[in-house]
Amino acid sequence: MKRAAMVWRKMSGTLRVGIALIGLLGAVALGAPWLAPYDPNEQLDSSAAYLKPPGTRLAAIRLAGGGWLLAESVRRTPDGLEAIRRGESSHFAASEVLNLTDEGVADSRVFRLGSDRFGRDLLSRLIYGARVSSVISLLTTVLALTLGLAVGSLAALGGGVLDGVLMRIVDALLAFPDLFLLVALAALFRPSDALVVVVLAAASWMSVARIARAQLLALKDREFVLAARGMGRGWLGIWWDHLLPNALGPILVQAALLAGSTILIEAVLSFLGLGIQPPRASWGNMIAEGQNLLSSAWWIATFPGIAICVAVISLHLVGDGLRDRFDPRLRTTAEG
Amino acid sequence: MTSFLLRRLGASVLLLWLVLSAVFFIAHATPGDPSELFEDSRMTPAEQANLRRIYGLDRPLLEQYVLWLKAAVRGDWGISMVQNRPVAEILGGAVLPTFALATSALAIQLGVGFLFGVAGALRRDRPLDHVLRVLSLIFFSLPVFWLSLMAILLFAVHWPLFPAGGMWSIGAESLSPLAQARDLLWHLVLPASALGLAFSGFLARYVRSSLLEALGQEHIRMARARGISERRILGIHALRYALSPVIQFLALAIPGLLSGSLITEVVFSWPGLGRVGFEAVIGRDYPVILATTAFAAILVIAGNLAADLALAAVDPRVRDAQMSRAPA
Repeated sequence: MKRAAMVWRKMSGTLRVGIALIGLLGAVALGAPWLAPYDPNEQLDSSAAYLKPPGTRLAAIRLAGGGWLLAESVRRTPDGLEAIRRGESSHFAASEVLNLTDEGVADSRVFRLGSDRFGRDLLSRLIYGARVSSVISLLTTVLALTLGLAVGSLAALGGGVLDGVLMRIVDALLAFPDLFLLVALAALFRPSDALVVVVLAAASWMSVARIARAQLLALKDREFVLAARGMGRGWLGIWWDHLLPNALGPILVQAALLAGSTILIEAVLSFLGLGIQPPRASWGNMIAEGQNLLSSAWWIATFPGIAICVAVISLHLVGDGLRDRFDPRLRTTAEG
Repeated sequence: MTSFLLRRLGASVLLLWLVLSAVFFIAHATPGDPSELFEDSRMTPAEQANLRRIYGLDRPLLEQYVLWLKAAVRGDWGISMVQNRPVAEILGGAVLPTFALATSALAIQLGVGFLFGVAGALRRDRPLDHVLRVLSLIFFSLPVFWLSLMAILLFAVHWPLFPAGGMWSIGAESLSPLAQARDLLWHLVLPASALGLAFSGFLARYVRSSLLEALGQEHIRMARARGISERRILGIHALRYALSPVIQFLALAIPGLLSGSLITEVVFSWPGLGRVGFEAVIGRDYPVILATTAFAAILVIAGNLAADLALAAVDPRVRDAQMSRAPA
């Protein structure tokens, strides 16, 4: 605990803000069932809750016949309830309503960030969307990191023809405008979460491979490596004990940036209808749903975009902070 | 210089071949076979077989590959399965719109990026620098498609200043050339700004750090000691030194710009390559998917080559290093 506090104090402001924001995002993702006010897919009286602006409060009438109705306003009458639903007044007998009180009804629904065209609560969907984004981003980054490290290490340690072949493959893949490739791949296979992760990782491991290779090349002729070689250690042991720990800094920086760009690209794929499929909420497909409703319901497309920005900014802050921490001079070389 | 040029050209052609082959095999390795499109109950088996034969889908994969590659080199990209038009014609019509969009976006990116970067470097660690750095960070963390939607929301829906999509107004063909150009520019404002701004953030950071590095160099201190004016130092000595990493950066930014234009084109219904590619993907129009992906890769490779040459022209160190290196 004390050690953790010390590490925290030694961090730069950038790094602290970034880590705090990511922690928040992770907490929201993990705690979604408790934090979300409603079920993200629940369509409670979708005709009355159709496209409600942020902050709308609707009275929730629990019917004796089962189910709920939402109303803009309710007024208690001597023999029951008078409700204004979608601008029209309707009357309920006291026996029809289960949650009747002296003023009206006991329950209400608040759409803090508004509702969509199915009457679903946007805030709840946004919170559940954080799950999708963080899980996909985390898995993709781990996969891309593993693949990139493997290829980069093989190229650096194998040298010669192997290095040449692997790096030409990396060049060829980097020459692809990644989105064209992603869209093509995502459309040719049946959409699924696993596909999104694999496709994203396949399009992003190259930068890790390049950095890992450059780092290992710089390290592998250093004295401490030669010493380990002289003591008879194999390359695998040296890689794990000496090369990897020393090369880790720039690779971690790249991982943070990668996690950020993954969130962006996942959102793009979902926006184009090739990523996470509705009705499951992801920030990208929420924006897609809002696209055609821009003029009538600006909030649907706006809030998920802000969430994406905050998530990506915080990952970039972590990347920047780590970069400055490991080596301030890396600022120009780590881009390549 | 000639041998340098030839070597780079050779490497580019090799890379291009690799990319084309990869595109072909990826497209054919995926489960949905294009010939499924012909499994239509309204056609007799004989008709279906005939269609397969026309599109060459009945031949072995390797033979299809060789035929496709040969034809592609000749500029014959096949016939769209959906639109029933030559792919080259479809792509040909889409090149100019994408070019217009990408170059205007690039101009905005360069303008904003350099403005922010140079101003930030000159006012290092002052309030202006902090504001510009935060802005750059926000710009490059924005999803382009969202920025595009917000631009539409604000400047086409809320304040109807610009059109929400498309490249021409209705009836633009009958206008005079000058009015047509104005119409095009008017339609370009939102998509180009969204795309350019989103990509300017990264450039701004890059320009700033390159310039700061350049300003810390010996020869700048030397120039200062000789009493050369700050403006001259910045304009001639520092910016030129800072230019080569920026050119390198721009070459790397081309794939991003193309990817970005794909989304922008889809959001703004811009009739460019990205939208053609996207619609081909949705409609499983294999020849068009292959051609747009390959074409995008060609553009990227050409951009890299151009950047290498520009770099060699600007920076003698690069030229010498490249020429003395053993052939790759």
